[in-house]
Amino acid sequence: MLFNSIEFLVFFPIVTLLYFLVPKKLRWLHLLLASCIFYGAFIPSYLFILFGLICIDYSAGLFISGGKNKKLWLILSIIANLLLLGLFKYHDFFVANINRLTGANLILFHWILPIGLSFHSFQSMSYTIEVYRGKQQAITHPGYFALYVMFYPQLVAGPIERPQRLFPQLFNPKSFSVENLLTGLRLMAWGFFKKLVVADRLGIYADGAFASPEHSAISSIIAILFFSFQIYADFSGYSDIAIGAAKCMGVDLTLNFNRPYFSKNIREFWQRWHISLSTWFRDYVYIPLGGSKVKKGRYLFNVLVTFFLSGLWHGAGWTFITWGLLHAVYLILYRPFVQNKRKTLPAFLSILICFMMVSFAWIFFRAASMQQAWIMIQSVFSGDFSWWQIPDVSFGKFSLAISVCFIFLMLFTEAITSALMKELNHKKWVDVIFLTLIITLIIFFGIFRNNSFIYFQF
Amino acid sequence: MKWWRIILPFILAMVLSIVIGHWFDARYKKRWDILFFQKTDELIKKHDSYDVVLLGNSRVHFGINPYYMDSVSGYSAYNFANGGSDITDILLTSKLYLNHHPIPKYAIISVDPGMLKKNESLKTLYHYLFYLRDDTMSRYMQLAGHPTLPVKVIPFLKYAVMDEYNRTSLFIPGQPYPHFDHNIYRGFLNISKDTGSQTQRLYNTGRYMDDQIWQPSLPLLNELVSVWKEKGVKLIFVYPPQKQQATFLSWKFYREGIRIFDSVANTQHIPSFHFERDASFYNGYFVDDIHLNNPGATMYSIMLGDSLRSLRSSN
Repeated sequence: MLFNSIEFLVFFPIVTLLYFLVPKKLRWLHLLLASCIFYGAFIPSYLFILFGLICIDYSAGLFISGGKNKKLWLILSIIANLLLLGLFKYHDFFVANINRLTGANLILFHWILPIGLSFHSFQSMSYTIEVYRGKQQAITHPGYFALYVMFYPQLVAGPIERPQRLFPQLFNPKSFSVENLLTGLRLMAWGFFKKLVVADRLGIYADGAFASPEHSAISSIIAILFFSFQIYADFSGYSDIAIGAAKCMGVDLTLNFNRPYFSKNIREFWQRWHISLSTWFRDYVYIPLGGSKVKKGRYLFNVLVTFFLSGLWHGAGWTFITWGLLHAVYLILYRPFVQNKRKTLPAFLSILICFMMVSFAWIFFRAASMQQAWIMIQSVFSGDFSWWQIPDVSFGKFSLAISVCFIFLMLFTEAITSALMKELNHKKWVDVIFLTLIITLIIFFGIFRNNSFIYFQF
Repeated sequence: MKWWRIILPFILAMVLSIVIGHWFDARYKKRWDILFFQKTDELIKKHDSYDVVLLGNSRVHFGINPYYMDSVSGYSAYNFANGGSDITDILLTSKLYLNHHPIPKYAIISVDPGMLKKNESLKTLYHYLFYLRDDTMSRYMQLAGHPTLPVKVIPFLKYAVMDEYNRTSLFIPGQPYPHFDHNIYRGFLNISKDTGSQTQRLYNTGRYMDDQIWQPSLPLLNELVSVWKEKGVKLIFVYPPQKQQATFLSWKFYREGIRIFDSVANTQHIPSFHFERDASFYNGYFVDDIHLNNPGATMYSIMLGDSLRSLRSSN
């Protein structure tokens, strides 16, 4: 079920209302059933894959906590998770490359990737790793464990939660609070604004530009910048809706974005962008490899491996791997600046340069192929500044103007508020005006075409 | 924390939306008045009597001027065609006309294979959302996938249904169409003033090369014929002019489409006027392969009026 669908408009209030009407002891069951309905709305049969994943990691947790062969059970659990990901997500990519290199004719599966598999498999893995590390007790109640993996707000696109944070909240559900409801609804409204008004509008232009080879440097630059804001508004919008929906039920999810385009350098960007994934890679890949407190060669290796895997996590394709490696190169090049501790640029310029670097990398992330990415880059440097419109894309001057206005509105609002906008709880009239305007803008300028969220494909 | 903090913004947003909705309605109607609203108002809200009803797609909308046609035929005609119409829209227009007007003498349907492809024009004729109080309109729009009930109850929701182009079109200032030589008259519109003008190019060569006949359009075509015949209206098929070197459609698709119209005309004994090979329509009368400029439309309308007069004389 998509957040931006009529079904969710009905699903959400019913589930939230029932959540507080059901006795606290049975709330896990209510949420688990609701999560099954939510996930089953995509492809019902894929619930079995999710149940399989839950069974594997639930059992692994118990075996690991049993004390014998801890490492073996952890490895088996991780292999099972990666095998599942490998079969559905990476098999065809690797086989296609082997076929191309060797001339072999190995079979491609062409399976549809279960929606959000990368998210819930990583969340599930973090449980077994934390149990192995002794930082989390094994969960004996299979229902609660299933709910940890399947909790519907963050099931298909995160934030990727840690067991220490989510389990206590699931075990001890909070009582109803108007403040939580208001905070949650406000965040959801803001998330819907970002998705429906900003992301899907920018997507009309960016999709058209990336799909069409015939456009000028100006249109390519606009398309790349629009995609930078589109992917931010799309993914952070999803996270806001997820965090808001959970907040309505008194559950606090991890902050996933913290105004990343205001970062002054690439390291800061990764502390603010998709925080739950970047901390996952930091804690379970980068630091176990040795982190930064190692010899230079090893540090380079650690960064490259971490970002190679991060790229691969996003998608089975050379474009995603290139995107990841490009960020690794950015970080490696940035390190000497930190060591010198020189403050050479004004803040505004640092932010602009960082944003440009990130936007350049998004070309690879968005392009359907390396060839398409290359065409886009060539177009940027073609020197053809003739026209900004894209053939066959209905995007007039006014659409362009209001798109830019909405980008600034989004950035300005986020610049003057905290990540969860909690301070608005204490400014009642500002809050009322803010919510009124956001709802009205969604009604008149939202793109209601059930466009999927970009990160669902991962 | 009080409940009003949650409820009040929704109420205020609704009130604000109603006000903005009215303002948007006025602007949208002004923007699309000549192209769409005048003729749909004529179709549904007015009840005038016409002798001839002109139906079809852009080749009629921009191609047959009732002013010149009437001057030759002696009849009174109205051009109810919409650019991009498919057979469903033409059927809907026919039903709406018969529901709201006295029975005409003739219904002229312009033949174009493009009307038989899966066009789904009702999905994008958003101005019809302003007329949902009409049951026939509401039923067809619902079948086209529009959320008619919510839009009927909360009219400003129609802007949430529209595509980006239509929604932002209401902010384009001023009257977009120049007036000259009766170029805007009873549903007809053509702004390509000069012979050989390319200012109103509507059609990209080769764009519809992969078109196929949409099979459900065949029973709809038969229903269209029945709707008029049952009321005793004389139906006429018109094969409109096109460039002699036209390369516009997949020829397989074109021939198949024409064959279907020919077959219906033969079995239902519908008289036809053929202009598709008329050499008087030289290239200077076209803005693209199939659309006439205003001088071309004037000549076509006069010739069509003449054909209609001849038909009356022969009867």
